[in-house]
Amino acid sequence: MAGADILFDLLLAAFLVLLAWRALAAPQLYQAAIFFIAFGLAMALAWTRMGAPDVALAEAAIGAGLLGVLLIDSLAAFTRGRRSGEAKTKADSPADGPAKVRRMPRAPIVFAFAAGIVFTAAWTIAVLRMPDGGGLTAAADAAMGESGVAHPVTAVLLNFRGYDTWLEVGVLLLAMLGIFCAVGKTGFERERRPGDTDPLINWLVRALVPLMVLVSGYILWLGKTAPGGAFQSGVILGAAGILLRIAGFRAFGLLPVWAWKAGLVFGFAVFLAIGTAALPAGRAFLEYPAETAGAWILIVEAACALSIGFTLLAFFVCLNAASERGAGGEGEHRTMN
Amino acid sequence: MSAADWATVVFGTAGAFFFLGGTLGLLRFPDLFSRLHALTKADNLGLGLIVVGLLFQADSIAVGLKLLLIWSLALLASSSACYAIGRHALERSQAPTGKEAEDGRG
Repeated sequence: MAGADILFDLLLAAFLVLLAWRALAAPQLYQAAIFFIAFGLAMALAWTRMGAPDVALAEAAIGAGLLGVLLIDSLAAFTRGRRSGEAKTKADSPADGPAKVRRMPRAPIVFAFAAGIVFTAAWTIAVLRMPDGGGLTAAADAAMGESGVAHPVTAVLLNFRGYDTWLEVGVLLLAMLGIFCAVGKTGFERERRPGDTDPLINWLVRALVPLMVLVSGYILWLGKTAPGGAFQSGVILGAAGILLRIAGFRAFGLLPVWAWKAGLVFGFAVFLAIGTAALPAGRAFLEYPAETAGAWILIVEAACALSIGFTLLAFFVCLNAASERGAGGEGEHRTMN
Repeated sequence: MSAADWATVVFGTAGAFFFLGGTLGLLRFPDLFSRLHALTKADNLGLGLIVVGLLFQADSIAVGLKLLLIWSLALLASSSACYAIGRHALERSQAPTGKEAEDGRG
């Protein structure tokens, strides 16, 4: 069966390069966005083949799912803005086609492609020359007993290298602040949006959202022993929120703005508080007491999952509201970039 | 190979056939509605048959139930998405034509 495995992996690798190329070279932005989503899904498959289901889950959820929603939503805003501009100026470009990208010059692409191949070859040689079980694998395996969890990826992310994860949650927060700076704190008003009154869509959202919250909690709990954890769980929460928002459910507008702000910083703050709480007792920063490490990790993960869900949802809410406002008041949104 | 493995091969291949048919329909059918029709067949029957094939490989009842849950969620999502896209197209008065599509593949 090894031959079939290698054939599949080679096909997958070639498919990834093809999708990446098409996403860059597609003549229309809409096609590029779709190719990017397909690339994310194929990438998730590649991560699964490499035995990294944790990364695969995150890639499928964020790379293909959430980013796809953001890309297509922004694209709709671009197209709307362009159409309203055209209506005024009667531009001579074809009226109906979605926004077009300018063709990139060939030479730099060819050069970058060649450089990429050289780099990949060098990288492959370097990896093949690495000693077996090299790196920190052995050290991490040896310390699993005192990590408080049974899944090595979670042990590394939340315990051995908690610092990295804490800063990653911080990066998400910074990205949110960046969006606030660029388009303003918009979309969080407590009004009821017109929304979707279609009975089928309504029913679907009512059925799916509770299930998504349940699955999100399940994935969070699963992180102790199997692939899963805060990031994957948070993305599902965020997706449930986006579904509510798109369908215009009232529950969505009930949160006051301070609750939004608290939700955004909650994970980062809890992580920091638990990390520093043990400092007076002579422990290192972000070090948990060994006996109760599992419980602390679960608390940190739950807080982070909530915040990640809030942040990803706020990305969508903020950008979506800004693009709708931009489409309403023609051309004003250009100054906000 | 055991009987269960053969069953997996048969159902999996049948599922792959419907995915192939769905993709072909997506590429070749003339308008949005018939393309949606082709796509949902791939999701419903193709995925359904593959899930049936995988059921023969499931180690426990829990795994089998999870597989069935995945299929039913995909059914819900694909038929609702199909409905939403179709409704949107109707609202924009793209009635089914039966003619060659003019929106091309450029």
